[in-house]
Amino acid sequence: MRKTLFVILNTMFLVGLASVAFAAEVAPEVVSNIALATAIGMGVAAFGTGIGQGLGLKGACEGTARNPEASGKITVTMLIGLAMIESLAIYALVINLILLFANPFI
Amino acid sequence: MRKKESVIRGYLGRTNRKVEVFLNNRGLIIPKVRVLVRNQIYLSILGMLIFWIFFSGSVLIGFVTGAVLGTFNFYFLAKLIQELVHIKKGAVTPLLFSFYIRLGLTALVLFFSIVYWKANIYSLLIGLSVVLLNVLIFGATLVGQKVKEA
Repeated sequence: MRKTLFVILNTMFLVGLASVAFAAEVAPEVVSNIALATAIGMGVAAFGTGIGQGLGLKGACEGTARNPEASGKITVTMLIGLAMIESLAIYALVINLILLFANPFI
Repeated sequence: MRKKESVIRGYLGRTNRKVEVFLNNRGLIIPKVRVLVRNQIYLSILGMLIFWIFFSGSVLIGFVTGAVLGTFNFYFLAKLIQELVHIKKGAVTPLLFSFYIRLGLTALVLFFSIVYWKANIYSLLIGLSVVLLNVLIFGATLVGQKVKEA
């Protein structure tokens, strides 16, 4: 099961990269700059999301440890916060995917 | 007119109950979390209907992909957080592993929708923003309640 999953994910990754590799009409500097920009962009997004979600989880754990009866309310608030934070990372991912595979400027 | 209104309210109440029982059977035991997920499903379906009426092709594909992805993400996030914070049963590692599987699948679906299905980017982003709209509406109702209590 695990091996099959790895094979499938690897195949998809290589198929995805092929469109970038065979973009013959685009200058290689442009492609490398775009790749660098997407890497930095996703890195910054993951950094911010990680810090935000970590702080949220920390607060929730502390709150539940101090007052276990309030875990229901804490769960709702945390769900709202995490959903909002995670959507930011998904937006960044969308923008990076556009830049890499469906760039309107190249 | 009042009779019509009460009929509509009764129908809505029955639908709400059915959806909430369905969600409860799937492990969402906190009422407010159930309401949030239920509203997310309603908003997604409403948005899909509106987009289905007014748009077609890549715009519709973009919104449907975004809304379905957002709803599934929200549902699984709600289940995960509830199990981590409220229920506190079972091993934590599989839960965290499922968190990363969910993120990977989200990335994969987004990749396919943008590259192969040629989904419209703006409608995809609007579809993904349904979660935010849901959260904002829920927050607004909470503010209203606090004002009432004060």
